[in-house]
Parts: sequence; structure tokens; C-alpha cells
Amino acid sequence: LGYKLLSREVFSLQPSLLNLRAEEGRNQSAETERERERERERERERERERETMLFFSYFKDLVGQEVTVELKNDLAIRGTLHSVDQYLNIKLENTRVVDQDKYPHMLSVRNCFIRGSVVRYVQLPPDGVDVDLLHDAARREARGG
Amino acid sequence: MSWAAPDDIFFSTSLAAYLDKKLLVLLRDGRKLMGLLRSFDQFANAVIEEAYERVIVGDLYCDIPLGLYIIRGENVVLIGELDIEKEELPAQMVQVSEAEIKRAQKAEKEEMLLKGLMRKRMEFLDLD
Repeated sequence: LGYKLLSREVFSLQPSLLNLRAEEGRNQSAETERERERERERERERERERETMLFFSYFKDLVGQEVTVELKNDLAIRGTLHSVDQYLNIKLENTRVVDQDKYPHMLSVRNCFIRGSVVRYVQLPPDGVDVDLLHDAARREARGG
Repeated sequence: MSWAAPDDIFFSTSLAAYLDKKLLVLLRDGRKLMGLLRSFDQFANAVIEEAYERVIVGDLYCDIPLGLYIIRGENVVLIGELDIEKEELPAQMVQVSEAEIKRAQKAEKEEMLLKGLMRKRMEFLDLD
């Protein structure tokens, strides 16, 4: 008898339990929806960061090499790569301007900071680059990291 | 800007090394500003004290004093540290007054315009 009563109680409980679970379910799905959105945002952030990291890391390995930086205003500067940052701003040491006569004001400039946004090309020594390593890194990036 | 991690410190390109130094700042519009770097930020905005603009036309140049300047980073092309032991300009260059350099600038601009016009007139000739 106790058992039967129990089962009746359980049955009467069940609908409300079901309601609770539905609400919980709804809340949960809202939660998970938000969480999923956040996860996606984070993934995108990470993707973006990873995109900028490839060349940043690449330039970090190039520090100490002789490079020629050609700017969007056609000025070309040769120098030793001193440092680089996440914006791909470049610091060169021991600089010489390629066409010195055209840029007299640059005569006594030996070190300079170049804003990343104005760089057109960075010319590298052909043997200063491990092309295969870069190739692999790029393939990994393209695949999604 | 994210803070540099310990081994990023070496590679972080910071203008801190240029503080209080006399610098040459090249701007996107071709202007050359010179002065002492007093402050900067992650966008390469800069505060330049005792700034002056060095206008160069051919072998003539003139330094026009500007005072205290804040430069918006997006206009900055290059910030160069001037070697005090080296001559800033080639020996044949002559310093002139502001009025004279402005005249020289105008003359140069007219010459450029004329050259451009002549070139346009000659374009119909397929000289290549």
C-alpha cells in the first residue's frame, strides 16, 4: 500500500517536475546559447590573434638580419632589424637610405622607428628565410591552427 | 595593447628609447618635423616639444618653429633618431628665410604642374 501511495505521489510530482525541467531546459538552452555565442566570439578573437601572430613571430625570428623596408611614400631604408611588435611596427638600426640624394633630411638618421601601417615591402636576404618553415606555418594557419 | 609577456619585452618596439631625444618625424603628407619626443602611446601618437618644420626645396632649407605639438599616430610615417655627431644635412644646402622658402616652394609646385601638363600633352605620342 505504501508503495502504491508513493507511486501516486511520484506521478503527481512528475508534471511539476517536468515543468521545472522544461524551464530549466529553456534557461539552460539560453545559457548555452549565450555561452556558445561567447565561445564563438573567443574563437574569432583567437583566430584574429593567430592571424596577426604568424608574421609577428616570423619577424621576431628575423631580428638581427639586414633588411630593406620600402615605405608607401616610396622611401626605401636599409638597416638591421632591431625589433618588431604586434602591429608590425619596425625598428631599424644602422640605417642608410637607398636613394640618399633624394632624401637629404635623412642624412644623420641612424636608427628609426617605422609605423607598420606605412610599410609597403620588407625586402629580405634570400638565404635569411627558411621558406619551408614559413610554408608549413602558413599551411597550419590556413587549416585553422 | 596587451602587456608584453616576459620574452616579448625584447621584441616589443617601444618609443621609450627615443624619449627626450631630438628626432625627425616624417608625416604622411610629406612634412618633416623635428623636435624632442616627450610622450607617446601605443598608436604612435607623440608629443613633440620645441618642434619645427624643416622645409626643403632643392638645395634650400628653412626651419619654421612650431612649439609644442601633439601628432596623431596615424599620420606618422617614420620617427628617426638623429645622430648628433653627423651632419643633419649635406654641406651644399643653404639655410634661407621663411619667406624665401615659401617662394621656392611655390615655384617648385608650379614647375611640377607644368611638367604634369606637358606630360599630358605628350601622352598622345606613343613614344614607348
